[in-house]
Amino acid sequence: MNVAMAVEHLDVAYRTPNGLVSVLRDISLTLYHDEILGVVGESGSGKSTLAQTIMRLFKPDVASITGRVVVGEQDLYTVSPRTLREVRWRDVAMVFQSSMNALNPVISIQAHFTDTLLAHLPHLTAKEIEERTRNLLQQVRLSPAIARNYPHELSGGMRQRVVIALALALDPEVLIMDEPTTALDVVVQRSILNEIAAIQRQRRLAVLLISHDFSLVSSLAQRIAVMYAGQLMEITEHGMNSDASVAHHPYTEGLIAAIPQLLGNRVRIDGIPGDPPDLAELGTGCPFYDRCPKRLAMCETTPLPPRSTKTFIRCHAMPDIEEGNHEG
Amino acid sequence: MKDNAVIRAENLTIRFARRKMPDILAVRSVSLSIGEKETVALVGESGSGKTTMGRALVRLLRPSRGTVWFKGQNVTTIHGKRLRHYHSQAQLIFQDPFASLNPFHTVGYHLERPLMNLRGLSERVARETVSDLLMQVGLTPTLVYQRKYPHELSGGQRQRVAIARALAGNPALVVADEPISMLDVSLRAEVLRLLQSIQEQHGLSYLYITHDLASARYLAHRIAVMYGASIVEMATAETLVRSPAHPYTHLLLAASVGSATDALPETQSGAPDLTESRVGCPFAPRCPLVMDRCRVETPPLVEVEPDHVSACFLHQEGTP
Ligand SMILES: Nc1ncnc2c1ncn2[C@@H]1O[C@H](COP(=O)(O)OP(=O)(O)O)[C@@H](O)[C@H]1O
Ligand SMILES: Nc1ncnc2c1ncn2[C@@H]1O[C@H](COP(=O)(O)OP(=O)(O)O)[C@@H](O)[C@H]1O
Ligand SMILES: [Mg+2]
Ligand SMILES: [Mg+2]
Repeated sequence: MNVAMAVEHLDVAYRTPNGLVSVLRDISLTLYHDEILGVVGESGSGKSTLAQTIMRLFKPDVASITGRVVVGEQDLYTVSPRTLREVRWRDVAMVFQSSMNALNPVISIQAHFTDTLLAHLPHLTAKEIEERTRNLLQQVRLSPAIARNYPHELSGGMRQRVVIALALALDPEVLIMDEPTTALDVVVQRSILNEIAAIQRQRRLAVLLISHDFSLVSSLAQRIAVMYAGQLMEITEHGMNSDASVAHHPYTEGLIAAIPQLLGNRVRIDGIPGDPPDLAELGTGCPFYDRCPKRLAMCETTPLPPRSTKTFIRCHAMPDIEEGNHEG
Repeated sequence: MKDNAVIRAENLTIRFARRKMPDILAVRSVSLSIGEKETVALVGESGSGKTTMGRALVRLLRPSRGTVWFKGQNVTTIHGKRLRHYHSQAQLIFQDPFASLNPFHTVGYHLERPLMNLRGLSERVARETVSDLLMQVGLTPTLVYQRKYPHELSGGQRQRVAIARALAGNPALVVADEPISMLDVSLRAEVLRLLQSIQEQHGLSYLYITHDLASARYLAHRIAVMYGASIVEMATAETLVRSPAHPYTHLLLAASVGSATDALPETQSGAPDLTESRVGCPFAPRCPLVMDRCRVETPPLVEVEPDHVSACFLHQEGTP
């Protein structure tokens, strides 16, 4: 499998009036062509920060960032501003959390496509633009006729489809989606997700699908990265429907046990006691230490072991889970 | 006929006026009853009328038509002292635990108020009862939590306070309106289990409002599916998720994570027409199995098997 994007040792700290607050710690992951890699984590675990850092959207006065984000041959953190502008949309496109509300209310849907396309492909003729717009809208199962409409004339689900079509406009290889369907109803959500899956297969896209909803991501992604308090705990190929023999990080296990099943035979659910930690007060050890049923004394202060294989579990209490066992 | 329903709504209709537009019926001739120690889940997409229905049952809203019976008493139009008493008997827990708590008051204050106002306890007895309530919802040491302000609590803890406050009036019915949808997954399970154990201890009845069928199956004995201001199907929880009858329930199940299939039936999208002038089945414009009749006549809820009703003409035609 070919690498589409590699995130290497990302550390991100926001600059706040009270000093630096470390939000992402040593995040490394590889996204391959033709796969959906899910990223799940609870609110505040750093998912949106990760997405925005990958796109290099933070100005230096907002956050201090070290590490690399490599797309193709280029490290987005060393390229020129001009190259960066080209890479965004053309190579890596992003659908933001609540971006369906970020469409410009005073211009038509067609004008959104025209602006996006012309910014990168200034030689396109009006006819070519119209044709591309029509194709893109059809891919997300919208009638081309809605190009004439303004954002407020469309439902939330339709606007979100427009945003996805816009992200696809320059035929990117990597698509980053941050909670792409969170505000939508179950049925609309599922139909958009099914379309995302179909488009991914058709275009062999590399998709980073970020969501707080573990069961939803499980139903779509080939691999799932589990984040907790700014760190990756695990990357697994087995989501919600894991059978009991599959080893998981204790946090992931807790999540699986906490979610009621729609049809399965497990009737019991168990929450994870306690609350996620305050990022500003985290020590050096495992961030899940306080809530972990399997914790050892060493977990409180010993940093999580580094891992960079395709799948892994970072847990001191599971030393027998060697990287090799999890090579995909 | 002996009626052991704690609450029974008969043909409730709730109308809202809109500016420069025709009125809507947010709830349209809905009947529903909840037995003692029973949990009924009300499931449906946003805008289907779930919250409005819940608010009418606890009489935060006065229904435009229809009747609400609480333990055999007609509470549809009560007001003043009787309504205040009813509010101690029928409580509501909101979706957003933050919005429902006053940032300037301590947890203790939030719980003392209903104890004094609804149950008429003296201040001293109310104080003691507060610590019982906090114990019941797992916020210990209670003395510490009594003194905290809402912003000092996590989302899960705030929802526990909201539950404790709902219990303060010693209610027979609690309407829980999406009580976990704002919480993180790892905290949701604890709140659901708390609701369950409180029910066992106090013999409460619940209306559990949610858009999530899996949690409805977990918590509820029966599930009612709402679409476009009407209940379109109702059955025991297990039957509803395993052998649904109504085309909308089929769609909702197929769209839910963990269903047997990911394939959605082909349907139109779009919100249902809530105006009074609408004729026919609310789901007809989206239904993959729609027939001519569905657009002109409203299908009644009919029994498809014991304890399982569904509002669809297909059941009469003998097809699925
Ligand atoms: N601009 C910012 N300045 C300071 N802290 C921030 C900023 N944006 C987010 N945070 C904090 O960083 C943490 C991670 O946030 P976020 O990446 O949005 O998490 P998620 O998307 O997983 O909910 C949170 O504690 C949040 O409060
Ligand atoms: N106070 C109100 N005034 C006017 N319309 C309302 C009011 N409350 C709810 N509605 C409308 O009634 C319909 C049902 O809303 P609601 O009961 O909140 O649905 P749900 O809880 O299922 O999302 C919606 O169309 C909503 O906009
Ligand atoms: Mg986020
Ligand atoms: Mg509601």
